[in-house]
Amino acid sequence: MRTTILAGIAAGALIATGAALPAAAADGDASLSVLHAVPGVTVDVYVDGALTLDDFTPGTLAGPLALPAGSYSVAITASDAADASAPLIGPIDLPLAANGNYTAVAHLDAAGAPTATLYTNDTSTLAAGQGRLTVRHDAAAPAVDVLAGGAAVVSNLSNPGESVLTLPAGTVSATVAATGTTDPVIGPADVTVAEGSNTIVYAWGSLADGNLALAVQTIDGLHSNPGGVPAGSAGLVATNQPADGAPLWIGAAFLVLAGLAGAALLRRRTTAKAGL
Amino acid sequence: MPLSDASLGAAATAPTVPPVRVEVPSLGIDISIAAESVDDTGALALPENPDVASWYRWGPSPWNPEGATVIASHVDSLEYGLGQFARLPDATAGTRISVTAADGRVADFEVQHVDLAEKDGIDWGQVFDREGPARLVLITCGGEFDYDTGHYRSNVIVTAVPVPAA
Repeated sequence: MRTTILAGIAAGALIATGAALPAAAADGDASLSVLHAVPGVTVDVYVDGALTLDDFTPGTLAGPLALPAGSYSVAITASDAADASAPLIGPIDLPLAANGNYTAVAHLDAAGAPTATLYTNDTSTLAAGQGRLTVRHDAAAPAVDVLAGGAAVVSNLSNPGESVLTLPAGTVSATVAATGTTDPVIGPADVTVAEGSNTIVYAWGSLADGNLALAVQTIDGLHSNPGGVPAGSAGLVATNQPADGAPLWIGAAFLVLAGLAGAALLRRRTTAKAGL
Repeated sequence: MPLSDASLGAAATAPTVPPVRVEVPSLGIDISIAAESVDDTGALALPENPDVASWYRWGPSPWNPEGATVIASHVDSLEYGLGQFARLPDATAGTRISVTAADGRVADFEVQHVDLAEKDGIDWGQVFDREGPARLVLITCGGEFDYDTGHYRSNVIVTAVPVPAA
């Protein structure tokens, strides 16, 4: 078995990529990210029996990893486990379609038990100037509303549900509250909805334990471009100007404008007179 | 597999530095810049006044490591007359262009090529490309005028590349 050891960004994290997980992306590969959203426990992640994430800490996002389409078995164990035989979560099957973009999240269910959910990320193209905001409920908490500017933009979202919005790019001041209320359980927090990106916000942790938090994943490159540059309207430098060089219709337009200005002037004078 | 801290704000990338002024000394162009998005039709939004250019705010700026910085300005307007970018077709290979940011930093470019292209045939994905080599693209209108719609049929597109620091 060929095993490559890479140093991770997180302090002390080592990632072992087993032979089951090819390093190079190929056409049609699925993209998988993994979010650890179970508070207070460091874990190992096994994919098809191979240790893939060692000492994976809460609040950490791993990936994206390019994988051939297919079904993968994922088991999450205590960080001192010798193998995948006694998982804390799973094993669960992750069916990954060709070219699909996924995030597998280890999290608490509404009652506080560890579980895992596979989400499909929306990577469809956005209109120029727009961003996508995806909100996912992965916390041990009842159904919630997400409020922006005091108004509910997501209503009655329950674990492990998600809601997807398209918004003009910018920063949203977001608050999470129990459904039907406005008293924050998370926030207010500034969330950047980046242009041409899917910004995925996860509410995780436990309401009862007082450790609710937000995690963020961003998928960029979903932008489209302006469809033109309309940078002239008078024809002053046109290469097809009428023979005398002074476009007649522009002259006419100026006359119309002059006429309008004259009329406005007359009205003002009339008003002034009336004021006397 | 890369690992990252997923907490809110941890992954924030350095914000794009907006350009505020573009100069082409040899053509007498010295024009301020507004950061713009798209208009109702999905085209690049431009200030009415041809003495203020439009920078596409969702694309790169000269201080990003890659991609095309796009700055456009009206060639003319019924209200304001001829714009400074009317002189863009006089640029030739090697013409110097400098772009300034609000904090005073300056990026220097030299023209690679000047194109007049019919609007229908322009690959806008290429013009507004956010990847590939860092470059500056100055755009205005030109060519034939459509007297029925009140628009030019072509764009003048000046492509410039960074001048290596001396």
